[in-house]
Amino acid sequence: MNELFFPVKFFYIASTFYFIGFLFYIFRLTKISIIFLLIGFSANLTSEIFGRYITWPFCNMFSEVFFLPLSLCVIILILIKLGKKEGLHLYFLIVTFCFIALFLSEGYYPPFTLMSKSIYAHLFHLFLFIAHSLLISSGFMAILSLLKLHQSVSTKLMLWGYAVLSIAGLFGMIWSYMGRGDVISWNHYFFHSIGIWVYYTAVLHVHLIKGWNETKRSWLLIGGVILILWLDILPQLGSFSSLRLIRGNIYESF
Amino acid sequence: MNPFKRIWIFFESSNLFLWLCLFTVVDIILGSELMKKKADLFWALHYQPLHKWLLTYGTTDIPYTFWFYLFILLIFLIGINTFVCGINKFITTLKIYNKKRLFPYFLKFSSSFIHTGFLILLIAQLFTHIEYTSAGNILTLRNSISLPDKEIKISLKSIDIKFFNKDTKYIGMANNAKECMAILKIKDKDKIFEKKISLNHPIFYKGWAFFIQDFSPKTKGMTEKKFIVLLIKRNKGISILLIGITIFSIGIFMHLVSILLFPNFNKSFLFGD
Repeated sequence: MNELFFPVKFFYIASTFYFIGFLFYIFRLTKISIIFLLIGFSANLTSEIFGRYITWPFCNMFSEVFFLPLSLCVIILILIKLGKKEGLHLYFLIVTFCFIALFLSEGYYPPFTLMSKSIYAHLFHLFLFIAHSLLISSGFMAILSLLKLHQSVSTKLMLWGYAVLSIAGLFGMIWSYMGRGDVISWNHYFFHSIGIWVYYTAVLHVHLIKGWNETKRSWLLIGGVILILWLDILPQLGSFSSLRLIRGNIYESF
Repeated sequence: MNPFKRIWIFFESSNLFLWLCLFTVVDIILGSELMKKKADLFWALHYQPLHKWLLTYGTTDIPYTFWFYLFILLIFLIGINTFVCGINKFITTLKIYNKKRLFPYFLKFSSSFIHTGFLILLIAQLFTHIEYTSAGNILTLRNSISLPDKEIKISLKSIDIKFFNKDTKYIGMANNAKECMAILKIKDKDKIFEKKISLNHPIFYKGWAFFIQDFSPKTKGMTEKKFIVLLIKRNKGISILLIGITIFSIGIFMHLVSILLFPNFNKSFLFGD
């Protein structure tokens, strides 16, 4: 069997455990849902390591939707470890992104570009994906906070997300310079990233302005998620298709 | 009131910063849509100094480029705002000197580091985009290129292009190039150096930087002559950029340590929680 299928198959396994765990979570069987989360996480991590090993030294730049469940899982586990059980609500995001990866992604392997063959490309994308998961989590927690479902941890998640996003940007600059002699990549992808960074820079400063209470700030965090989904995630997706990955269609170009 | 002081007060507003950022986001979203339609127009910025582009390419299609002029203006205003607010914040932090808790107090300067790093990064961006750039320099095994100061000559000693196999597991990549490596001879007055260059691994020499912009052949079996296309840049701005990256990173690191170790001491960061 083609080894390229391994990461994809492991992702199916991970998704299955996530879905079952989510059902337990809905029925408030917290401990069992966490066990399923851990098994799903292990399979997802194996998929990710396999995927990166197989494509190394090229960087799989458009595999974000496959990575997001993994990093969201880590966020949940850290929040639980810190005694913030409301973190389990992020389970909803994990199954959502698994669904998106299985039914909407255009394939696991995009065509590789020679420029992606750089350690900085790997670091940039790794930090970017982690930042996105933190920022999306912060927006989701902000929604729950608005619905008065729990006390907010959204701001802390946003602060971490912003820091990681900034580090990603620095790696991105180095990658771009080493690859094409310019720290800026003059295309719309670059400006989308700058737009998101500037937006969160603004959000980070609103506490200095009178009148911006927690409710208004929560709306800003939700706005940030919409911006990330619209500018960064949506362009990576295709039309709905029933488990195109199962049919072995792992290569469709983006 | 002193006009300088009036300008200072105008720019120390956090409200102004917020609105400038939100305008910038709107401008970028609009601009990136226009950019998709005229990608080549902006791609030229890789090979043209910014000021030249603004006077040539930029003016040829104003309906598609106006947002970029506005973007530069907004970033300039954000830069001034950051400078003014950064100085104010620095002075305020100095005033609340806490002798007993020196380390957490020091971490309070994280925002000063971040602001300074950001401003240096902005200046570095400007520098790197107005420096000498020469694109499209075709280098074969027979010719050589002289740099503008005429003292340095570049020639190609060897070129090695590796290809994916015909039966590669990567669909769509069969026979395509996967690496291009070359050895350049750099003749500086009477001295000759040999340096290895490849994709993502440029050569830096005496304030110059050489990048592989393109190469040939791209596919196995093509009978085209082997050559590389060099992008030559003055890269003095890059050292400023590295300083900016370092200071900004230190600021971010201090900020994270501050959140982790002293969440109560630096509570202003953790608004709302």
